Amino acid sequence: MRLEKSKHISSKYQQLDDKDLVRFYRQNGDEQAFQELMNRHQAKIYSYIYSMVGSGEVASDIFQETFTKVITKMDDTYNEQGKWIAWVMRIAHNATIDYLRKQKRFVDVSSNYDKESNTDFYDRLPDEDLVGAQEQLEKDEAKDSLMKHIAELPEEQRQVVMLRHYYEMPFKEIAELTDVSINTALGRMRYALINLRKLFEQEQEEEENNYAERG
Amino acid sequence: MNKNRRRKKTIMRNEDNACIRYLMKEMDPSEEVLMERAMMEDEDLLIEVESLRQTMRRLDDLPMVQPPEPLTQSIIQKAAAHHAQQNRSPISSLADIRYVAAAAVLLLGFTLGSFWYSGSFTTTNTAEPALVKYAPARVTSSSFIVTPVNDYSVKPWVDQNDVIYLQDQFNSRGQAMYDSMMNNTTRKLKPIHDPNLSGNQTRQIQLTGANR
Repeated sequence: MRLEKSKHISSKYQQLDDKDLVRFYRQNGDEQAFQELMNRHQAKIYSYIYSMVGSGEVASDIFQETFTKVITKMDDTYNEQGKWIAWVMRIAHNATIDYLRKQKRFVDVSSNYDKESNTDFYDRLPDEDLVGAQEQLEKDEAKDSLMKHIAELPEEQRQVVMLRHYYEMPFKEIAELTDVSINTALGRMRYALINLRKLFEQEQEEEENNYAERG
Repeated sequence: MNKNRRRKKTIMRNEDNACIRYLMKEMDPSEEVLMERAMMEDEDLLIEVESLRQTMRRLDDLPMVQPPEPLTQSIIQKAAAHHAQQNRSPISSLADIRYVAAAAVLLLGFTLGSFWYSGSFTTTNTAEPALVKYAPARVTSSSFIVTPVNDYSVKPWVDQNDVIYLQDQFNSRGQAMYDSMMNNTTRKLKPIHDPNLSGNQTRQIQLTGANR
C-alpha cells in the first residue's frame, strides 16, 4: 500500500530495491530514496505497532521513535548485508515490546478509542471501492470481531501472528526476534490459531443464541 | 510408561508444528509430499489442517493502517536534516578519519617531494648565475676574451654570441702590437673594466654601445 505522495517520487526510485535505496540515502543523503523506503514499508510497520498497542497516539509515538533510531543509527549499526526492513522491524518490535512491558497490560485493540482524533482503528483505513452499505457494515463487523479476538490473545501469541502477517517473517526470524526456539514460535502460532478458532466459535454460538432468543 | 508418553508427546508436538509449517509454506517440497500423504491417510490430521487454514484465512482481513501524513513528512525532513548535519561535521566516522589520515600522508609526501625536487633543481642551477654573469648580451654588448697562446699572430674571431675573441702571446714584443690592434679594433667601443677580470692573463671588454 503506497501513499499518494509517492507520485512525487521519480519512477526510477520505485524500480530500485531496498538495498540500493538505502545506499543512495547513506551515501548521498538522497531524500527521495528515503521517502521511497518509507512509502514501501510504513503501513506494515505502523499497522504492526498499532495492532499491538491499540492506540493511534501511542502507535504514532512508537513509529516516530522507531524511525528516529533508524535515521540516527543507520550509519553505525545497520549492516548492508542484512535486509533493511528486517532491521527496521526489529527496532519497531523492540520499541513496541518496551512500551507494552512498561504498561504491563494487554490492550483491547478493537475497543480502544482514540480520544485525540475521535477515531477508532478502522477510521484510519483508506476508502475502499464502492460497496453496498450492508456489505460494508458486515465487513466492518468482521474486522471488528477479528481485532477484538486478536486483542484477547496472550501477548506472545499475538506477536507471532502480527509479525507473520504484517512483516511476512519466516519463523526462523520470528524465533530470533522473540528470543525463542523455532518450535516455540511455531507452537505459539498454532495456539494463537486454535484460540482464535475457539473465540470465533464462541461468538457464533452467542449470536445464534441471541437470534434464537429473539425468534 | 512415562518415557513412552513423553516420546509420544514430543512426536505430537512436532506433528502439530508440522501443520503450521505446512500451512505457512515453510516446508521443503519433500516434506510437503510426506505431509499430504499423511493427511490422506489420517482424516483427523486433514480436519486439523483445514480448520487451522480457515482460521488463518480470517487473518487476511487484518487492516493495513497508514501512519498520519504529518508524521511521515516530519520523519522524512528529519532524515534529510540528519544527513545534512552529518555532512557538515568534518570528521564524523572512523572511515572519515581514515580518509583524513590518508590525505595528510599524501600531502606530507607531496610537500617533501617538492622540497627535494626544488633542492635538486637549485643545486643543478648553481652554475647558472655564473653563466649568465659571463654570457655577453647579444644586442647591447660583446666581449673580448684574450687568451694567451703560443702562436704570435693575432687571430680575432666572433662566435655565434657576438663575442669577439683575440688571441695573442703576452710577451714584450707582442704586447705593443696587441695594444695597437686592440685600440684600432675597439676605438668605437666603450670598454668596461671589471676588477674581477683584470688579471695579467685575461681581460674582457663588454660592449655597451658605440662611441659616436
